[in-house]
Amino acid sequence: MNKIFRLKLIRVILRFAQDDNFFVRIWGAGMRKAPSFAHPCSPVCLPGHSVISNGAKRNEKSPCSIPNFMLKRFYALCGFFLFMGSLILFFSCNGDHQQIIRNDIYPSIYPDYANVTIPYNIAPLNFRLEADCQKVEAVFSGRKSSFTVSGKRKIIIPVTKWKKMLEEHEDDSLLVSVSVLNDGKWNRYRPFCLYVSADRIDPFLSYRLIEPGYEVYYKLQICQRNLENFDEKVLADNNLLDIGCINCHTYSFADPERSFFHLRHKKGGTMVQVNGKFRKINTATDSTISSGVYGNWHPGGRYIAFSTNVIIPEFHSINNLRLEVYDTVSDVVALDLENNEIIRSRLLDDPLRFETFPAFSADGKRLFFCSAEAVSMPGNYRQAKYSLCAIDFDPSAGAFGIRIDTLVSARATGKTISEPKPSPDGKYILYTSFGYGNFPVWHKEANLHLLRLSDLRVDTLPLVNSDNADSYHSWSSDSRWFVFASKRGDGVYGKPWFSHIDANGRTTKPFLMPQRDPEFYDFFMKSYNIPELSSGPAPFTPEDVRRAFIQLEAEPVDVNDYKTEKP
Amino acid sequence: MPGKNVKTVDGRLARNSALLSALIFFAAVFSFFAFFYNKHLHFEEETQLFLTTGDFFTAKMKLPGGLSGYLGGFLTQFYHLDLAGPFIIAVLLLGIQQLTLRILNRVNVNPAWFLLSFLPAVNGMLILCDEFYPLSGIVGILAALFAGWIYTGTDNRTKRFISGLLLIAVTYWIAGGSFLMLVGIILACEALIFFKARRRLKTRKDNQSSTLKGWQLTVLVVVAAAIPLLVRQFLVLQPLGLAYITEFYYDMRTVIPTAIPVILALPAILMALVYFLPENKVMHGSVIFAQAGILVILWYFGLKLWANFSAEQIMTYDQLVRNEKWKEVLDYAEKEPPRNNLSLAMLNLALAKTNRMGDQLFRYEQNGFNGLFLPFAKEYVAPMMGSEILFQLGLINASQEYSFESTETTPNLDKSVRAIKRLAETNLINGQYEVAGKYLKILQKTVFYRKWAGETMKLLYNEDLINSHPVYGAKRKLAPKRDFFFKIQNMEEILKLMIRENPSNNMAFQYLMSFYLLNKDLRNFMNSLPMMNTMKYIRIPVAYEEAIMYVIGLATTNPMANTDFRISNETKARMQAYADIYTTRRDAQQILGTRFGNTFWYYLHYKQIEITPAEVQREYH
Repeated sequence: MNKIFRLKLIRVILRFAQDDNFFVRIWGAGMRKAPSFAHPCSPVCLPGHSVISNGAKRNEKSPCSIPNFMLKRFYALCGFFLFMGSLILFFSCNGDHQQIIRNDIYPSIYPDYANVTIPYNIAPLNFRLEADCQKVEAVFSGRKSSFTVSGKRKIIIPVTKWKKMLEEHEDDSLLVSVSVLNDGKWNRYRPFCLYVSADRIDPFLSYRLIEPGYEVYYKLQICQRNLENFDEKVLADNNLLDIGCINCHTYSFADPERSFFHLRHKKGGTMVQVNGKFRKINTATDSTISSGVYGNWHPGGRYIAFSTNVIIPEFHSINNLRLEVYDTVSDVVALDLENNEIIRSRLLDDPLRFETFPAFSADGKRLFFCSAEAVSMPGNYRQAKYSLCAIDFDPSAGAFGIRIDTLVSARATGKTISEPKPSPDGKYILYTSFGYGNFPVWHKEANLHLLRLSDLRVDTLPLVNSDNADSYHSWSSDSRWFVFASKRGDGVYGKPWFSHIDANGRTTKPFLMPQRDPEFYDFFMKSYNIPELSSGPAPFTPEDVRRAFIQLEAEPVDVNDYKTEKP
Repeated sequence: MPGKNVKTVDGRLARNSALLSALIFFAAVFSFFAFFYNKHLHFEEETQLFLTTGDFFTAKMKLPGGLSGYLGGFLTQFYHLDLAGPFIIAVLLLGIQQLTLRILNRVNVNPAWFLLSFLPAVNGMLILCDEFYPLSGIVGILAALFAGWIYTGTDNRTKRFISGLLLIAVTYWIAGGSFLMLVGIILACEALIFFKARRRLKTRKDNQSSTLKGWQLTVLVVVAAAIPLLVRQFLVLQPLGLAYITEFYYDMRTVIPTAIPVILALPAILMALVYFLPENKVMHGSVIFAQAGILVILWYFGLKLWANFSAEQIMTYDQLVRNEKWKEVLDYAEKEPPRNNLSLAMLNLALAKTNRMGDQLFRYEQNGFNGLFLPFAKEYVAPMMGSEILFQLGLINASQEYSFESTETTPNLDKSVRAIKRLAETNLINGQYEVAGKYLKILQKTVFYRKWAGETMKLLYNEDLINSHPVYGAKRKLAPKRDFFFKIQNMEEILKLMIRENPSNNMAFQYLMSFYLLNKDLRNFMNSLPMMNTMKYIRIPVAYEEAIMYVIGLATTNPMANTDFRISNETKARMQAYADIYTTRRDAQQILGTRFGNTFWYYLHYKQIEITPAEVQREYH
């Protein structure tokens, strides 16, 4: 029991004891008329008994006669308080903070929230101790307020207190002091900070929940979590969609009113949602490799750039490797949603190269993508190294430019690049860098890198990355936060982590998406795929998706014949 | 429904018969599941993961039927013990019978018809023979019958109406789809009260037990129809059929088998049936015997229809292999030779583990590659059993893949405790301690795997302990050192690589040689024979001798005399006899099948096999 609470409890008991009407209130209405039998100076005055007050001894007779049964009740109550008092005293001695052992190390907690930067609108960062203990106590203190939370092994922070404290300490720091009781001794660890950023994070995060398996799936859901509390709702469920495969859900620059996902099923297609209304588009054509795979929106909302790929999974045989996923061919195209037309470029479907992971720039005038020299698969899968490239795009004409620029060369870095994601403010591209191939999620060495577009300087983000795969990233609408799926920890189950980036491009140690129960991730056996922030809730329900799946016919698309290229 | 207290002359006989029948039923159910169908129960147990955490309970309780699902899962974990499962099933089914009897007694007090009360219980037993019907369904039926018993025992119309409303809602939430059974009982009850009133039967409380008013009945039906729809709309979005039946009655959630509506309607049908049967009649023994006879016949044919003893055989092989009881597998094969690739693959694994593959491979009917390994399939049985072979071979990553995929394809979409245990083991062997710890922590929240998980936890991060472990250390030694992409079609190359990396890997050698023999690939078989030198064989196994003799016979005119291999005289003699019959008799196949069906020669000449393994085209999502 924490000290403050003990003191408060004693204070409350004393206050009640000093209150003449307290016992009367407890005894009920029948006693209300009874005259007061307590001496005004006495904390507790028993009729006919000696009372010590202010050092003077008195022996007074009560002015009134009290019925026996009431006396019995009174004695019982006093006994109860004495007992409680003894208990409090006992526990106070047992967990005496005077016997605190101070440790100069941070407490070992999960998730590791030590010295992270958090948005002021985030849900409580509940955590648990890594090791077993009898009791844990955490004091959250800031300049304006503080509160203490205790638990057996978990710290579950009261939502109201947390919200209030974060609002009071916007753009300020909080200190968290953790003490642990073990074998009757308290260990107080080095306090850690929580930096409360004044940059609000987009309050909703959508992701696909999937077992990090090999190829089989039966239960897939796209869910949306409210980051300001712990509410999660399902956006799409493949059990309502004839067990079709639902691919990841992609917003247009964190705008919930515009998103798409692929539904792999004979009645499926690319489900494009605009303002809550769905369209189902069949992006597969005879002239392209496949239907759309990895895609991103044009900021104007008219286009979606897709890769078209043949994707092959392979399974490694030695212990530190699990799965390799590679393309045998791949191209990049853009889908014109107004004309239902696939826009191609000879530069983007070069048979001698693998092109994939297209993403439009924030101004919509460029398309970033990854490109590698084509190699024969699977024999040379380690030689597939993708560079980060860009090509101009004319949104009004729906045409690609005639030159490809290489922004980060795989030849120069010796590494491959995946999933370039331009920031909505147009300053940066966040991408994944790893050894080879184009599927970072099973590459332990996969790390996020930040490319500053103004001077093409690359930040390797040492504070952000881990020794397990960090990938599947996306930006907040104000470009101040990014989220990514990291397999740090167990190496298998991806979880959403958030990091702050300030106006100068400085990033912070990331924090794991908090859960109501800090043991949640211990028992959770799904991965968070493609976490995407959005500024508001998605305007559709699983029923809307089901209806669209059943009722809509997939719209066919035409393919242009390259004649729209700009000279 | 108010009952009439009419006594028959033979009431004591009826009571005794009912008691005796209940005891016989209990004993029969118990014996069947304990001694004839026990491996099914083990299989059920290992394909679920029941956690003793509050979150697990809460997650179940958020679903309609969640309590029966939770209790069903809770009880199913006791299938781990050989006799606990049969006992639990027998008790639950007896409960169903007793509640049915009490409900039927309220319709017709003549005890002569008590045997009809066994029908739902017998039906319950039959569906439990199918592993897709979970025990939670039986728990749910029990709950619905209990609710029906309360309802039919309520005399007052208003009270019955209110209790009906409450019972429908509560039964739906705690028991799920069996609330439809309750609705059936309610409708039957009201109809029978109505008919009774029309027939002006003088019952003790006739005046108080008039049927519900039309609007009351309509409200009950509308409420029953609306609750699942409302739940589906606002709480748990799921397919329409599943909203009514709920997920705890049949594991394949996209299907509602006919047996479910039948069993749910059965109590109502029986109520109607006994209503029209005579009351107040002196009971004759012949009536009971006739019913008993019909019941036994129905039971017998029901079992023939529902019980899958082929699956029981597979599960027996599987369970023995899972517990590494190799000798028992071979003993069992003597009594029950494999009937399909699953059993055969398990038997072949036991042969390899006991170093008998070379001698006894053709003692059992072989079926090419598919009886040696189990190619990946998108269902949970073959990958789970295939994982055992790969694990024993030391192909830990592949075993992990098969295990992971098998748990992902478990029909009820839950996890499999067996797969989680295997994943903990494979990750432990691979040194992936964090995720192994995650799985072990999960298993620590189970009743029967807690101890194992706790002990295995001690191995985490302790290389010495793992390396010296009799299972995990041995697997580390067998595991491939060089990376390659695993494909079951490439098993030949994989086995050769493993032997190259570890020349004393006898298990890989046995599998490789069996692979060649079963694929009738004698060239590679002969080329691989020198590997035996490093395996320290003191004699040539029989099947190899047969293959060698055959090859020599192709190359020379007198194979009996001219060989560098030390072939036993017995094999030579058998070869001579085989060749004589093969070359001289028109009905050679028949005769050879009888006399030499257990030889490589017979397999070579007469067994039609697929040479290349078939595998489903793999995709990535």
